[in-house]
Amino acid sequence: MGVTVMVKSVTSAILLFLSLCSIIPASTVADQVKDVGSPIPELAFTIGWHQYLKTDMADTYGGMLTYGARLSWHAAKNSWFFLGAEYGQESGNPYYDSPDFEGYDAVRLSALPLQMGFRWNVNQPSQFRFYLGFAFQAVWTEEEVPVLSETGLDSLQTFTGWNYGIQFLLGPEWRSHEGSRAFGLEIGYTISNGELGKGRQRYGMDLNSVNARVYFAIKL
Amino acid sequence: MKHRITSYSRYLGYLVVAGFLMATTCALADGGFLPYYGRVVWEPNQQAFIKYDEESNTEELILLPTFHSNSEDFGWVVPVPSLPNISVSEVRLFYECAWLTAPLVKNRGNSYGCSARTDKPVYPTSGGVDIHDEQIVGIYRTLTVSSTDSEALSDSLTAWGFLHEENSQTVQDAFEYYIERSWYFVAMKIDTTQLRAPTPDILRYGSLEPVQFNFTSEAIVYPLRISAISAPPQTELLIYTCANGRLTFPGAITEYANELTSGEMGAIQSKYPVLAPHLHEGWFLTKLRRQLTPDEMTEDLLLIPAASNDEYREVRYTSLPFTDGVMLALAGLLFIIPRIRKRRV
Repeated sequence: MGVTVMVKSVTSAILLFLSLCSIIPASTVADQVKDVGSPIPELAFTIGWHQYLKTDMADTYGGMLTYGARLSWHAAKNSWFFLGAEYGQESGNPYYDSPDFEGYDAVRLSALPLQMGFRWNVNQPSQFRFYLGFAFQAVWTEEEVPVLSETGLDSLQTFTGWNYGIQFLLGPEWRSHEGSRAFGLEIGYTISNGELGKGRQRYGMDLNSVNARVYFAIKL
Repeated sequence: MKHRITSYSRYLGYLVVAGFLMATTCALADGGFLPYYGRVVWEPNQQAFIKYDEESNTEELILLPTFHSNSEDFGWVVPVPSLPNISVSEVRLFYECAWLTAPLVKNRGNSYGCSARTDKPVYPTSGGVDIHDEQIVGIYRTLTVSSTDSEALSDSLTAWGFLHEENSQTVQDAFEYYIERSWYFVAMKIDTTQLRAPTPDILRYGSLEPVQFNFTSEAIVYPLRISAISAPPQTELLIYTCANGRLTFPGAITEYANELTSGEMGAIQSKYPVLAPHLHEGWFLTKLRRQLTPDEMTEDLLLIPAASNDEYREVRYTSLPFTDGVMLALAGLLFIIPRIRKRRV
């Protein structure tokens, strides 16, 4: 139900942005930024918030703040290939629905999403751009959970694993006149599933999320 | 050729499904993800609930006897440091303790859980001269005595039917331990006239009532020493405590520790009506477990404040394993595709 509403919202947002882009006056050649088609790679530093959609993840952790870096190359005119990595850590209270044990932040989630994807600028190259993109994503995930070990000597156990999925991105970007620096805002929808743990001690991990990210990019 | 490929794909489908089922069965066989509360309550060889009030130095000790034999065989001696008030409690108290303190099982997927029931044999608890009190408490006939002579005490309890002759010698060392400390002994037998259905073999687990002892004590004590007489090679001891701080004892694993807030007490009162009156807002409810051999039961257990008052509760996540789901989908495709092709042909 929630996911359906969210997908509709994302679709509406895309259509709204495309409409906005179509009414932005096309820039003149003189206004066009010099970086179009440049082979020089670009490094972006990102700060993002991933709001989890799965009920238990949302109620336990809410979301996760991540910091990352993204390396981009021009793949063709108006399209970029990129590799990205982020890292985040969040504590959560798994007892949120247990009224007889109000609990504490007993679990901790660490995530290292690695991304590989494309972005397209959907309007004319200018200082204001609007990008659409998608990425394949692999997330190394570690979760510390209060589980008694067989010896009972430690009360926290660490479960690790990989999540795999795809991410859809869109958002505006403002680029300096000479094209060497850029500031952007990106919103995305991520579908990501996997497992943590080994053998019989394993469980599913759903990192589906909506995410927002700001970044600052510089030419290398 | 085409027919052969279809057959192969069908066999492959069977294999994938078998693999899926095996993987799932392995996950189910773990049995640790959803506790079977009957097992939690009846598996430990010794189980107790202890509430201690520091201001009045009073201890409330509730013992859940486990005993496998005919009712006339039942004899039980519990040493206590001062003259106790004796009453019976409800078995449900221990079920509610188990429910309240159980690991929190949470589903992280569209999944299911399972439990594997593995009931272990329950070993009989050991049974124990001035007579201080004699009464009928629930199904028990109790006799509270004290003595300065362990031999006389064992002889008397044997003569009164609280001890078997073959145990008479073995209990004397334990009696001596408590006599040196000027403790009292509560000897108990089943009064078969109090049983609703007095059949010779009615005493199976589930039939015994917990016994509650209220007494004054300078220390929070669990009378373990006397258990060494009849303990199996490995005794599992499970103690719930309620006191104004988190408690522990040497070698104990803390499975649950919670400082009870007013909100939690409200939830507990509505959900655990038998347990709630034994709890106290602002106090700590703790669940402690330890495996012991008879050689380790040379002293009574003294419960002491834990190093920290941090709360703790176990969390266990479950889900349908992702890879199993993929295999199931693959198996489904391998089954369906040949059939669709067959229909088209």
